[in-house]
Amino acid sequence: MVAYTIKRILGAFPLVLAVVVINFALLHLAPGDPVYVFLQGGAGEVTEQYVQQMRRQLGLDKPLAEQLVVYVAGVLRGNLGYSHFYQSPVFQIIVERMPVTYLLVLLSTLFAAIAGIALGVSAANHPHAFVDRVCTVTAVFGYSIPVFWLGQLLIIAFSVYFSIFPTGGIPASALGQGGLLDWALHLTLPVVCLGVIQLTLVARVTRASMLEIYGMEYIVSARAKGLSNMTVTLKHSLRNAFLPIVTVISMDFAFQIAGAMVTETVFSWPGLGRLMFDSVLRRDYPVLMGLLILTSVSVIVINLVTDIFYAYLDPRVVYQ
Amino acid sequence: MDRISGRAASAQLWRRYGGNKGAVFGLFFLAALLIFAVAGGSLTRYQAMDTGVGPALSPPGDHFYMGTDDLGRDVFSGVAYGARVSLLVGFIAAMTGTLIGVSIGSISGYFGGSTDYVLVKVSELFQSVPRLLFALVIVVFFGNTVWNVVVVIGILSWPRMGRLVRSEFLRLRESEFVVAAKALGLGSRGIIFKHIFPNVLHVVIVTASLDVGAAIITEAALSYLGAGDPNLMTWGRMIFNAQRFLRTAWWMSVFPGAAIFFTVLSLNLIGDGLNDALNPRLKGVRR
Repeated sequence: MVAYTIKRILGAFPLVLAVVVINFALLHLAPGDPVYVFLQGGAGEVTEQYVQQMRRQLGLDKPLAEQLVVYVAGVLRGNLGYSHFYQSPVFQIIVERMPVTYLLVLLSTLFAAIAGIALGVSAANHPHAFVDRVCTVTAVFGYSIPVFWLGQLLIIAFSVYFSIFPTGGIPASALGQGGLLDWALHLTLPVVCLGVIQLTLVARVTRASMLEIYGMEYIVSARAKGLSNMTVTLKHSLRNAFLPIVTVISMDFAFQIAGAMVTETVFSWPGLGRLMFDSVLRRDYPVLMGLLILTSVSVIVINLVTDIFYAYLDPRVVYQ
Repeated sequence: MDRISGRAASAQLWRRYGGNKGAVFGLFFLAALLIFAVAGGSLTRYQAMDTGVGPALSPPGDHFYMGTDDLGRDVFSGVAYGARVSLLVGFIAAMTGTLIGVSIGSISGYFGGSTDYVLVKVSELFQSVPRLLFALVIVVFFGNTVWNVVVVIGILSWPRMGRLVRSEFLRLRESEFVVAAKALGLGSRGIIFKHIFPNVLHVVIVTASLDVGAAIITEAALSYLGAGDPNLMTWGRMIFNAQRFLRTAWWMSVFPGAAIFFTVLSLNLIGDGLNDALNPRLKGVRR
């Protein structure tokens, strides 16, 4: 098990490195001089002398291979460049906004997991009943609805027409401040918007996985010896149906991060998505590249953790 | 296959497809949309980009079926024109992705070994990067023209196709008819194209139809995030415009969004129907 864990961790390093190299390549493949990428958003006129100075300072006058090494080493030490618009290092800008985004992602994943598993299990327990139909139909809907439109519909329905929830934003500037109820009200629509698509996927996978287990002989014998339906469902079936469910939840993490960025834009949620949106409008390249690197790395880490967790849940994985 | 049994097979295919109500709905909706996309301007009163054709923000009515937006543009014309852009982007991007995915998947699955290892790692890399964000960065860096959007979505959408084709090739590579073809001295190219590929085609068709829908959503998301082509009226851009007017003009968001939703829904239903028709043994299996 330890050997497997170490092997998986070592296997993730080339991926991280590749992500960084792709960013470097993007910077140099894009039309125009990379030095302007770093000067974007800066105030006032840029003199030729300043450009030359920046070029030397950033090491852009050195050979390409040397630049790559310097760049990779810099990124690995957390140096993601400097945003002239915010007048601060990109790493700091991103890390400051991470908590509110991860709060959103975490809560919506939790919502999707709990509601999705409940829906999937009851659909499997009542085949061809109403909840089974809901489970199958919503899954197709989940694939088809754009997140940002769903968010706008939620705002039109629950903020404008019924005015129950606020249209967006957060109650206070930091996570520790503001009343709990206020937070709950502000969180509801974004969490539902981001979670509901994943919910349909989780429900579909849970249903299929449960139905497969229900067909097995040990379930028949558990029922035959008179165990209650609850015990059979929860203890004998759900536990064994869990692996595919964990996979679908973690596999969609990359999707959820991107989804969170879109959802934040709809609900003016001041996290990474908002930062991304503003940076696109401002053409703030260093921030965009930093976002790309950091979100990719967090996806790699989450996948790694799931893989290892998976191996603990099912030791057979190690020997494959 | 001679002509008569070919016709019988396709009749059977249609019967199975027709048994799926959702798939039939999808086909009809998409056909209607195609007519709109091709006929375009001749079915609408106004040009999509023309401002001030009516009072700003007027609700849906007899003259402006879907209302007007903040600049007095006709929403209905925008939705109709957007169909052309969305369908074109969706189809071309999905075709690009399919081409890449099928090539990589078949090489990887058939030859195995170190080629396979490298290609699997590359697809793993592509799956670790949040697709929308990556597409956004590339479009912002290289310019937000519609062709860049198409190419980027195509390049980023191949891994699912690649993975599925690879696993089919892995399975079929060991099958008896392939071993027999090899024993008869057929070269790799003959085996790949004549013997394995026809048996993988159903997976490719179904996945490609799902990819068209995914590409349409990605394009709309890029436009919504302000990285779409500024010279074109697209559904995503209309929803982007609607954001500031949710309180006053719900129609600016609801109609273009419904257009995306029903289009992608139709494509997904068609994909499901094709899956049932082409591959009856695996009914309902997806992903």
